[in-house]
Amino acid sequence: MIKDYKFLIIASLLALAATILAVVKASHSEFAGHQREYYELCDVTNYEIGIQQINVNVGGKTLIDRCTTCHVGFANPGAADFEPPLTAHGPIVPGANEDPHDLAKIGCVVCHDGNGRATSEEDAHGHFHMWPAPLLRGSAVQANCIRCHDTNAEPLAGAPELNLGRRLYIEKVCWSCHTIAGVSTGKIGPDLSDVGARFGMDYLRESIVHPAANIASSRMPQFEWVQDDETVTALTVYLKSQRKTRLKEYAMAPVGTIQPKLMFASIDSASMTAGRKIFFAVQDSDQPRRGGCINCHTVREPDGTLRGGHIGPELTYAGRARDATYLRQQIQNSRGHEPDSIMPAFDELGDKEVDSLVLYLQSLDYVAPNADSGNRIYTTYCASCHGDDLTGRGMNYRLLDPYPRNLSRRQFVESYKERFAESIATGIKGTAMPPWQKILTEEQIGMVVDYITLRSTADDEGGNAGAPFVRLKTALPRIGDIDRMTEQPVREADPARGETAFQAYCTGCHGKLANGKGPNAFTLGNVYPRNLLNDRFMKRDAMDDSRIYRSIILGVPGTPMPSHSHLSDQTLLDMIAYIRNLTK
Amino acid sequence: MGTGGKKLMERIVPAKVRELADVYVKTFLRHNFDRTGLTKSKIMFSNFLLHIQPVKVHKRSLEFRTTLGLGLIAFYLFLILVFSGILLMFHYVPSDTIGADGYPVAYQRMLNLRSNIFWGSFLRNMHRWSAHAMVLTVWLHMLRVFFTGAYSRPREFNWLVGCVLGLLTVFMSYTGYLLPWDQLAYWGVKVGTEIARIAPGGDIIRQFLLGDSDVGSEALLRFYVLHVALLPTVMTLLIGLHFWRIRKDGGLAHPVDLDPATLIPTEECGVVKNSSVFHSTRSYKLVEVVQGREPKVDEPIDKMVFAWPKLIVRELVLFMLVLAAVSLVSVWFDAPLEGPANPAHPENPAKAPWYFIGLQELTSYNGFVGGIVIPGLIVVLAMLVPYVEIAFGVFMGKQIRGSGVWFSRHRWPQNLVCIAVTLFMAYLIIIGALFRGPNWDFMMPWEVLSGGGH
Repeated sequence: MIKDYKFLIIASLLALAATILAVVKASHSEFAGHQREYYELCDVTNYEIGIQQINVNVGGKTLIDRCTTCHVGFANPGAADFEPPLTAHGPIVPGANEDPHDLAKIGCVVCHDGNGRATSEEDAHGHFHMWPAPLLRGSAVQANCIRCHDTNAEPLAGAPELNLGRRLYIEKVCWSCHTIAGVSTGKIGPDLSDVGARFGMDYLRESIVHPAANIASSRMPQFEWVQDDETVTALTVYLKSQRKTRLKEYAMAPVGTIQPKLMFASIDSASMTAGRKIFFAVQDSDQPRRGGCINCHTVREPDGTLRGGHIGPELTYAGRARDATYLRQQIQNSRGHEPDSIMPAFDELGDKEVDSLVLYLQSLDYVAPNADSGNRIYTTYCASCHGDDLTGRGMNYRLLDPYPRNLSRRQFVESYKERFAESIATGIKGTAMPPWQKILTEEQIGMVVDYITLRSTADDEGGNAGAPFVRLKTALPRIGDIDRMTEQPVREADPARGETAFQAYCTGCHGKLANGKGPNAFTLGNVYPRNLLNDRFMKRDAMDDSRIYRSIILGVPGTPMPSHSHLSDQTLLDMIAYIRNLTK
Repeated sequence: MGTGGKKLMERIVPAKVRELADVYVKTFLRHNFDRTGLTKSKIMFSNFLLHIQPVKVHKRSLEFRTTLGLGLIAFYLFLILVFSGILLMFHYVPSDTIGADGYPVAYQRMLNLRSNIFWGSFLRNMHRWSAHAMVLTVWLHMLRVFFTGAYSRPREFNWLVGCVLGLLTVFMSYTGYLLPWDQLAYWGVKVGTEIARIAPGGDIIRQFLLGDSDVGSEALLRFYVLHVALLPTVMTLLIGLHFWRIRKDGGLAHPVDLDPATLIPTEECGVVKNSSVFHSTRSYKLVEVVQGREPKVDEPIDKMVFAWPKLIVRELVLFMLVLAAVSLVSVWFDAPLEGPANPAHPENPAKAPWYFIGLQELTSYNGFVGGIVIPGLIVVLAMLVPYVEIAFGVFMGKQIRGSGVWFSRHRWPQNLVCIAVTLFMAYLIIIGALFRGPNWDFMMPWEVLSGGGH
């Protein structure tokens, strides 16, 4: 029993000690040391230690700023020589005799972000997980000028990084996919009007440099210029400056009351040289120039050097392969031609600008030297999309939809090679494959077809390169014929029954909407299921009913599309009727 | 007070004053402190706080290895939680209205607790860590009760009450999880409520709980009211019931000594029938307050001792240790706080609180089976175990023995199942908490995330 009392005394003392420790820790704050040091440096003897707080009045609401609890000497010019955090803050406007910013009134958080309520360093500088506004240092602070100043109207003195970012946003064509209220109206990518308020610098930078890092399904291209630190930093600062709620309304902002409106360089008349400037986003005035096709597309200069980004198809031959109307429509709304294209609609460009671009594309006249063998022709004209190894993975393949055809599968080539010559000559509508008949002669096309046939036979990885491959011949049944499965006469096709069958057998890959985006679509490797709503593709002459019939019943060799010979003829015809109805 | 002190008092203080003082003290302390059985009994049943405990307890109950103190630790954590929770309530506002700095009010309150409220950080840490510790302790307590077979007749109803208390503890912790309104809270709760959706009718329960179709301001208010008013009240009542039933069921489970040599022979005293509804093994009579052996029949020779002071002192020791441990942990480890809740920016992976991570891991394999069937089965089976045993006894004519003994060989099948289920749950929690990366892909805990430069 005595032992129990001893335990009780020890345990009680332990609990008491823990409580005292908690009190001691709570009263020993980080800032007390800083304040004591500061007052000693200033030779002040009669001082009181406590939390300092600046209440920044922002339109009726109060922004709490306790940073000066540690940064005690921030507004005291006499403290300029003190070590951080006690040192004084220099003038905000560089070179100005009298700084219009009253530091004692605006505090620190307005410009530097961080966590204004905190009173310990780690907490205050926002160095904890998912804090959206970690401390801004150095040039990054320029992002916050826009919280009070209207910087969209004209370049702001003392904020070179921000001004550069603002220009680059236009030059790098970010505007064509993204919306920033008052600047651009792109709808393909996320709205960036409030990104600065929600994400930190690191996150924004990462999203630019490596778009898929945080949103795995992102289809934003990884541009070549992300290797350039200056460009990325300026853009990051510009994005960080984007906030929906400003501290004060424009009417109360210290500088300027103009609604933000970006002015663009415009041209007087359409010309090839202007087109080239737009294509390369060359800036020759104070105003940024809309354009910058070069960010995504490559072109070959007359001397043969390849320039540009590998995001869209190469455009060296586009001006010769397509007519002017097609090019114009393609620039203004590419989805009119290819429903799954990720190219933004540049419908904000004026007619003169579009005409100039068309003139520029038509002026490109590079001709490959020594195009006299299948191999050389293929490498020059086809490899940028279909790949040097015929796998359909050329350097520009990634964001094309449908993907360039994988021509390395022998079964596919053997099944369809009789169609190749025509496909090359006339192109394939609804896809990025252009008609080559104005560029290549019939003889050259023949050489390419032979080359593809030879390579696919030699390279086939299936191990049966020598074995013969013959595709079955099937004929489309007509009404009244005897069904192979049910042995009943085939009746009139019914799209409603076809839809039921389609929803039962096809949606895993082709999707419930038949748009080729079913749940399995993205796991199939380098072929997308066909988008059956692509009416340009589906209405081609070559897409007759018997081809659809064969593709379903026999499958498409060399692709994940399997054979469906277990379906009755009646079901197949119903399905075809349904598929036809989709693009009526 | 020693005799010397007493004599000194008599010499200094006049007799009348001493008499008056004695009467005054007796108005609230109606017993002496001598060592008679009567006094020891009076101390227990005349004190409001102590009288929920029995006057006498079995010797075994005093030993640490009988219970490992787990039930009491859970109760003490509950007390600490109530105390720190009430203090936190003075500083908290359950509102997600956005303040001037762009952060919701509830979250601003968290920032205030961390920065300018004296002891605020400590209180929050204490509340947070005690809550986690309580969930863990309650789980261990249930395991202790199971492995000692203490759930079986006549304690089957108390086991049921305990199971409900266990579920309430988890729910209590879960409702509190949302209140800081940071990313961790928002997405943790979001994941939990998405799991509820899988159950048939789960959508209705979810909507009832959230007051909206998604986690938002209504959910914050409801979780707050549940957390600070409704659930604590219900839990307090049920804890009272739980303790009261321990007494009514004859104290803590202890092995029945059926050796006839140790039983008091009936023929010596005549037959005494146990007419208690709950088949209590204890009867409450005046003889209880007398020290020494008493003439009871058909029962083992008495091994009961007075609760005062042995039991009470040991309980106090345990309380002090729990308080000291929680305080020390709270001094050294800060409760997590992330950025403010942002419904537009999910964390990847968004993980539920650890006690639900096992569920989340299960649902990642199959929503319905993992989220509803398996956990439902585990809970229902756990609650029904004593009733199944009773049915087994009735149909097979054989009582399952081994109550009050750790890992009794009479109940190895139950223990085996329980160990398997426990290991399974622990495995799921460990895998879910440590080995799951973005998109719930398998990942070693030391691997560095490729993205995520927040």
